[in-house]
Amino acid sequence: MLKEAEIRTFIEGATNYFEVSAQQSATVGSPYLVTDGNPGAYEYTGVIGISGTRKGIVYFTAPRGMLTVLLMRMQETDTSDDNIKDLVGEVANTISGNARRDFGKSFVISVPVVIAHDTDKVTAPHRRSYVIPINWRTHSAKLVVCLE
Amino acid sequence: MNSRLAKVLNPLLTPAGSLVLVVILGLSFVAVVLVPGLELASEVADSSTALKLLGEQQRHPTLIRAALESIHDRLGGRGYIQESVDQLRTSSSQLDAAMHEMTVPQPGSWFSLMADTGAKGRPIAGKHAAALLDIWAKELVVLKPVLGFRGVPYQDNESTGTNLNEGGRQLDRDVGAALRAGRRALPQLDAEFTAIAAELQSTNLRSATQLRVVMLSGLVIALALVVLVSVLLSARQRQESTLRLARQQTADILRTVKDGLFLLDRDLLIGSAYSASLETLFQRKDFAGIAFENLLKNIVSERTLATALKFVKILWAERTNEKLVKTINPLGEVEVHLDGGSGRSETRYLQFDFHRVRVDGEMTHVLVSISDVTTRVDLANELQTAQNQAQGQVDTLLGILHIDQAQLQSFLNDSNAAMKMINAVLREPTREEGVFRKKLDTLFRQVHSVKGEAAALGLSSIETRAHAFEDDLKALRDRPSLSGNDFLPLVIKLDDLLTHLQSVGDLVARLSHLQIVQGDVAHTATAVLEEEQPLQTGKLDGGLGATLQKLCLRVAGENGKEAALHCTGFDAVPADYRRAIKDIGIQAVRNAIVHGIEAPDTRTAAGKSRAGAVRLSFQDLGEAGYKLIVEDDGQGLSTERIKEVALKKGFLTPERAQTLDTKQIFALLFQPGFSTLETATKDAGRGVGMNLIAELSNQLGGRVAVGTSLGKFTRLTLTLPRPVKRADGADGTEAA
Repeated sequence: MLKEAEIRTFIEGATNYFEVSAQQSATVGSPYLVTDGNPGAYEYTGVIGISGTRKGIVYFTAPRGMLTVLLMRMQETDTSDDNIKDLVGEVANTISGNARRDFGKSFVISVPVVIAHDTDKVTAPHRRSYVIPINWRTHSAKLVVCLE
Repeated sequence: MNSRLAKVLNPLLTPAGSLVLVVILGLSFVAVVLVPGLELASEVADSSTALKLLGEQQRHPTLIRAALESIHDRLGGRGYIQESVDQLRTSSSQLDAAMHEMTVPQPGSWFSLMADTGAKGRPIAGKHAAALLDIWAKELVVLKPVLGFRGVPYQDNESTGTNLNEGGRQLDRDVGAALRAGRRALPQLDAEFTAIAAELQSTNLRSATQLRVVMLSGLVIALALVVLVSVLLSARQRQESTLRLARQQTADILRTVKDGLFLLDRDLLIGSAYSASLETLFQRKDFAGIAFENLLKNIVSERTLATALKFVKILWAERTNEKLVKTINPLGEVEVHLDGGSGRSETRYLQFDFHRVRVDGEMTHVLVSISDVTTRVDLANELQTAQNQAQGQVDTLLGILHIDQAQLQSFLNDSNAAMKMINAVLREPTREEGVFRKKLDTLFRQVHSVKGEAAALGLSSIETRAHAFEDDLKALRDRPSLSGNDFLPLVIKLDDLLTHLQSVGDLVARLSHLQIVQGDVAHTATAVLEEEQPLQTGKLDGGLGATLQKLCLRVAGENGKEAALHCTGFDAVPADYRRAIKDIGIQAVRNAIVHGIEAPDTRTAAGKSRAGAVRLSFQDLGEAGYKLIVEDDGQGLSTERIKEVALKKGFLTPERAQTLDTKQIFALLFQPGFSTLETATKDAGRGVGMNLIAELSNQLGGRVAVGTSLGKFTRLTLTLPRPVKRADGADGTEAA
């Protein structure tokens, strides 16, 4: 059973990114469970693998529109595919950094991997996942926590 | 014998030993053969040269005598003498030069010259030099006047003819003296020459003999060298062959062994030889020369890495006891996380063993052996989990054994549906505060219904979890503002509830299977039929009555009350209303006991029986629909008390309270979160039960009426329409 503090750390990592990079806070929608092993993904996904006390993956997935606006908000004029992938990777990296800070020794966290366009490639290792909607301006992204 | 030879040869068979041996033998050859050989050869050459010189000089005394006699004869015959004098001069001069050459010390050997010692050798004449010089000096004294003669020795006289002049007469006397002296000196000279020649020949012969001996020795040494080198090479070849075989065997072992093996040096760097399985164990290549720290970095936790490095350093401290150190090995069974690609990491358990490697008593390396114990650890974990689960399942099993299978299955179906509903409500995209609050009300009703039925069935494990869920809901309801973040604890509890319901469901399925095996086919068939087609029977089985009876007894007992439940007409409940009627019945009975029925002593004091009565009746009104009446003979409802609580909890303003009629006051009871109890218990106090009744009634298109008489009774009357028929002839869908 996942602990609340563990999930909060991941959520904080994602919302912090918006707070710091875009100087505009993101809000969290009501979280829910996905029990069919298919939590779904948007066009761009940053995945980090977790092992140690917990095993599985955590990913941040967002639509292109949201990430484009976020880039523009960050005064970045280059909204190319590569730049968007870098951005989603950075969000995953921030989540990873937050988790390292809080769990450090008990969690082993992999380097983020970015999966773009091919949403079928984003697969959950377990049937049950926690999905936390991340709302920013009019856009919505998802943080998926799928840990044993 | 062989072993002795091997003992002697072995040190020599090392590369350094062989090299030293060859150098020693080479130097010996130079010292014993080449230097003396060259010296002797030089001596032979010198003596040969001297013999040749001597041979050339031996004719000169004869030539000198012949020249003197020729001069003497020609002077007597008044002949021409100049030619003989010249002959005398030439021979004397050559002999004098030879004398000088033979009597001065000869240069030393090339060896002494190289050494530049300044040492001189002996003269060719050897011990005869002094005598030779003495004889020649005396001879030279008598020859000197003859050699010094210049001019013509004759004078012509007409009367006497040609005669010797004064010079001629003196020359004649000198020649005579030289001939006389020569008769004695020249044979001496000749004898000395002969003696010197004999000595030189003797020396030459000795040197040649010695040279032959040296050459023979050289030949023997060279042969010995060849034999020795051949033996050494052969031994070396055998050794190399053994080494090659050993290397091949080591390579075979390293390629085949399942364990990871490598050596660590003092700088904690991995050696160049390691087993192939390391690549599989660590999913990487090229281990040679990498630091032990880098091998473990990123695959074990930072704490484990730091401890492991300290441990290996302690192992290198030779004073520490190896066995003692090994007892604190932090890598005895370590969890490692390897990159499995796509952000996934693969977890394995590895066992590291460390052994000190000593050469001549000195520690040179640490041998590290690593084995993959993942299967063993996984099995142990699975066993532990299975044991824990088994314990939990036994507890759950004991809790469900007394419950009718069909009822249990029905409860599980309903509960899972409620959980899905809760999750669906959570999933609805929400950003506004108001929508979040509405979600809370719906969640409350769903979980309360599950909790109620769990309580009715005596499933305390589920009831407790549902109650904890309600606790969180209540805490959220009391918050001044709400965001999605606040719902996180609910999702975690939902996860827990779902997991628990799943495990109960698994147990029920296994129980059902067990009953089939036991041959209780008839009973199970009925149960299965009811499980599969609960809605098509058209009737509620007797389970609801029994469930409510159990609930009544438990709630009364836990609240210090006594109560009897009477149910009638439940066989007329249509399938589509089954769950709703069950939920309503459960909430109504709990409300009746907690809020209506008084404590036994209070009842007795009021002239009532100690045990309160709760009556539930379901009536089929034909076309007019159905009626469900829940009535208790308790304390009735006090409109003043309701208003007081509503004011206190903010459901009413004082002004609004003044204007409310009785019906509106009773309507407050159905507001979400309204309860007259100060503190919530498992059975009441959250203000959900009555709200759930009203909500369910609304969903079915029915109405709720409240009737009461203070101190006498409270009656809830629900009027429900007939279910809407679906096109396929079945009743309408379930409204929950």
